[in-house]
Amino acid sequence: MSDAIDDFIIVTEVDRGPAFAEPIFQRKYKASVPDFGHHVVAFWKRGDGSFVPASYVHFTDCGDIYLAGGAATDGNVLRAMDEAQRRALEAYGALMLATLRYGFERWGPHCDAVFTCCGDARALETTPKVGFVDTGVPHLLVRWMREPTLPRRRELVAKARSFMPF
Amino acid sequence: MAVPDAPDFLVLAEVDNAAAMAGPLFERKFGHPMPDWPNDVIAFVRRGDGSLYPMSYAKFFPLGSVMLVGGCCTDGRAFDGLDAGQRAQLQGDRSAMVHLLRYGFRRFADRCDAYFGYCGDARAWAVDLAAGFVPTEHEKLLVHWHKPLNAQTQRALVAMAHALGPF
Repeated sequence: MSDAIDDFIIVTEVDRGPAFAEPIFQRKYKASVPDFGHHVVAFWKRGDGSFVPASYVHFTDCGDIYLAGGAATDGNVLRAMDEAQRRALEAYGALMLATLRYGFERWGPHCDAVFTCCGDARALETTPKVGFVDTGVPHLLVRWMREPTLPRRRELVAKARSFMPF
Repeated sequence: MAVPDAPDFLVLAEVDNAAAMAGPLFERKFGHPMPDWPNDVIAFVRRGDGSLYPMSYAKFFPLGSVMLVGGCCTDGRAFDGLDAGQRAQLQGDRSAMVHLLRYGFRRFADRCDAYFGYCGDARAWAVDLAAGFVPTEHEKLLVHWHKPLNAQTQRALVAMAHALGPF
């Protein structure tokens, strides 16, 4: 992750996403967290030893590809952090980077590519920082985890497109 | 008697990065860092402000066809943020550890043939029994059977777990 935020941000997969991320997800999507894996949560570690869910992203295993979606961050949690923590987080980029990087590290070695569906201008500023590139399909971005041939890339993009929106 | 479902304020979960959340508790109890083995479960107390405090921790370590359950520990400070009613809901055979062990038994049921525990502490022994462990013929060694196995297979698994010694 980054030494600067390691002290107060803990990123982990949890088996019960809804138990941790339902309020964050509901606020952004007006829908419930998917009831299937994989759920990645970034927790704010407070000085009293407690943890507050601050950001969430969902990874879906589709065999040779993974879909990353449902990214959401609780701005109230970020505002509750102290000045030094907020500065460190600002320097890091965005909390979503930490959850995505965690997913890439955890599931990247098991797939050819991770796709995400993104139409949000602010998120689009962040996605290139973790290696997402355009696919040619509107709103569909990909981070290649291997070096597939061009025909294979077309196949995988078509497969990911069939799941849209996600 | 069946243990009731965990109360709403107790969040039970398998957590990948458990050392970052329950590592200090584990180290306080056992005097060494949490081993980097799968699989870790944590019972969090959800406080009124939405924050989660790790109350109990246990590891379900796969070994061949069984799982060894160990590293169990509870942070008494987690009770500080609870009101009297909530505390009452975690007393006796309804403790956070009882709920957590039962959660693990359900969570990993399709990954093993039996669960074993090793326990030398009288209070923890009572908790283990409440969760569903039963004593074996070997001192301190407990087992939880969750699927039908013939007697010979059970004897073989118990013998194997006993041969491991303390864990």
